[in-house]
Amino acid sequence: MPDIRFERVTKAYGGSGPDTPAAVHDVTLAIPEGDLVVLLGPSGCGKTTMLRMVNRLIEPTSGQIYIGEREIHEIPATDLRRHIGYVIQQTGLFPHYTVEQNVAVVPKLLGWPREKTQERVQELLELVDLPPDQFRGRYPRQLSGGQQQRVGIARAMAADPTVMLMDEPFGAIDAITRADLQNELKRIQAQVHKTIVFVTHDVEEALKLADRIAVMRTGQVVQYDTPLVLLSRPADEFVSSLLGARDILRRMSLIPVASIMEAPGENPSHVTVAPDANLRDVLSALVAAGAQEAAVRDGAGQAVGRVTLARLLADAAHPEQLATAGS
Amino acid sequence: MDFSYLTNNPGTVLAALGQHIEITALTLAIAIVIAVPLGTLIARISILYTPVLGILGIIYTIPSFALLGFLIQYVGIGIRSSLVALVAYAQFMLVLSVATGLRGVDSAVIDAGRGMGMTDRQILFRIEYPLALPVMVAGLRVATVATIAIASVAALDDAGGLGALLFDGINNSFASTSEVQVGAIAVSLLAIAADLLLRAAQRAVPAARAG
Ligand SMILES: Nc1ncnc2c1ncn2[C@@H]1O[C@H](COP(=O)(O)OP(=O)(O)OP(=O)(O)O)[C@@H](O)[C@H]1O
Ligand SMILES: [Mg+2]
Repeated sequence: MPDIRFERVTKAYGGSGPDTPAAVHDVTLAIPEGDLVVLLGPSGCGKTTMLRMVNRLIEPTSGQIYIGEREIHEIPATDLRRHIGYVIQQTGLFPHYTVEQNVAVVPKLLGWPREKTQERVQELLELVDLPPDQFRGRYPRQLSGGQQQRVGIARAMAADPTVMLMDEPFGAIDAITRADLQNELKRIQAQVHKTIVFVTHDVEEALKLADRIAVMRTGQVVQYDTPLVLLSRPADEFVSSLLGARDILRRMSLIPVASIMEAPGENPSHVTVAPDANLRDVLSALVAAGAQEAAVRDGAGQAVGRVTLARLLADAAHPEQLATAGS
Repeated sequence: MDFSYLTNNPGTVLAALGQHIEITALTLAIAIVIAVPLGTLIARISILYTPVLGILGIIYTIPSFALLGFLIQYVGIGIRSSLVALVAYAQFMLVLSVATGLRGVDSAVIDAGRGMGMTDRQILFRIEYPLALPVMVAGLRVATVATIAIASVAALDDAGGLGALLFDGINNSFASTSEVQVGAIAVSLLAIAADLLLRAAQRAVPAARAG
């Protein structure tokens, strides 16, 4: 899997005069191979512009974008796009194509033999949890919004691209289904390790999915780090309030570690927290140690439980649940 | 109703019907060949949309007698003048429906196609035309019925068709009401049949299922 690098990329749309800020201004950003990086920020900050420059649906005004070793403008746009998965909020499924035909679009463009395409469609529909026999022949309008977006994801993955671009893919989907799809994406990503650029303005979604988050504001990346660091050490007031970091941290400080603690594992972590610690203490300890997991130890040094970073973040991403858990 | 003309001259009526269908089919074939690229062009280049449809709309409102009379002066008498007139009339509905159909295609679908690496041509032929087809066929339906009606006037131009029965019947001092009636009914039936046929076609296009 290649990485993606933005080097001093600027995009100024035609109409913008000297007074209008560029939609993306002098951004340098490295997206590590195999990571899911979220572009997070308020409406109009340039997330979609960033994303669409990667598959050349938008051409930068200046700067370079590399995928692996190659600058993307060395590659003909259609070739480039056939090797990058692209998922959008409105799904953009072809309404006159069946689910199977939709998923087969890129393999067909690439001239894959029929058999290979059919096998791949089967495999992908299974991967996104749509039983092929039931769904293959349906038209998009015969699917729920959540199912449509599963097809959208399967379609984007059809030719096994190394890079995927997702623009608010779950933005138009109800909260419960959205959570399902997020979990599904996490599961799939754990299997396939694509390099994914994921745009959202949903903070919970970003915290839940991202390996790293690039927080954007008016065309610039103001902070780029792991969710944990962003929450605990926001660069400035803007990042802090965008993430609701203060609220999350305050709530976390009200919740005892015991409430989310799991049974101690085989090899307890060397990062230790006390049984009466709160979640905020755990967060600090993990950030300080750069660890994924903490052991809860009693006064005698005996491990009585464990807390994983994933669990901590998942709960941090759901302030309502934290609030109830804490009360 | 007096069908005596039909029973007395079945060959003449059938030939006139054949000519009428021929003129209509030829008109529509030529008209489609012009309207599809023109409609596509004005759907793309929006500054052309209003002026082109404006001009076609004006042509559409000129009475057919007047247009045909005018054309006969310049193009000469014969089927060519009729065809020019009929094709010109059909343009408005056809170009309008092609452009409307294309403009109605969900831009997210086109964006997805482009994002997956389809070329402009592939997007046009695999996405835009198929999705615009129901609207285009609806326009074709209207244009067909109108063409069948207006083609009656082509008889003035010596082009024949069912219009010949009508004019002949009216002009003939020994006015054969039967000839007029048979001609009128035949034109009506032809229009209804064409409409039903195209309605069925409209339902059969795949994108209609997707709608
Ligand atoms: N085609 C365009 N022409 C002119 N300006 C544009 C164009 N597309 C976007 N912009 C402007 O560029 C800026 C960034 O837009 P962009 O779509 O990247 O924002 P975004 O972060 O994706 O916002 P949202 O969360 O609302 O989708 C905005 O100010 C927008 O108005
Ligand atoms: Mg956007």
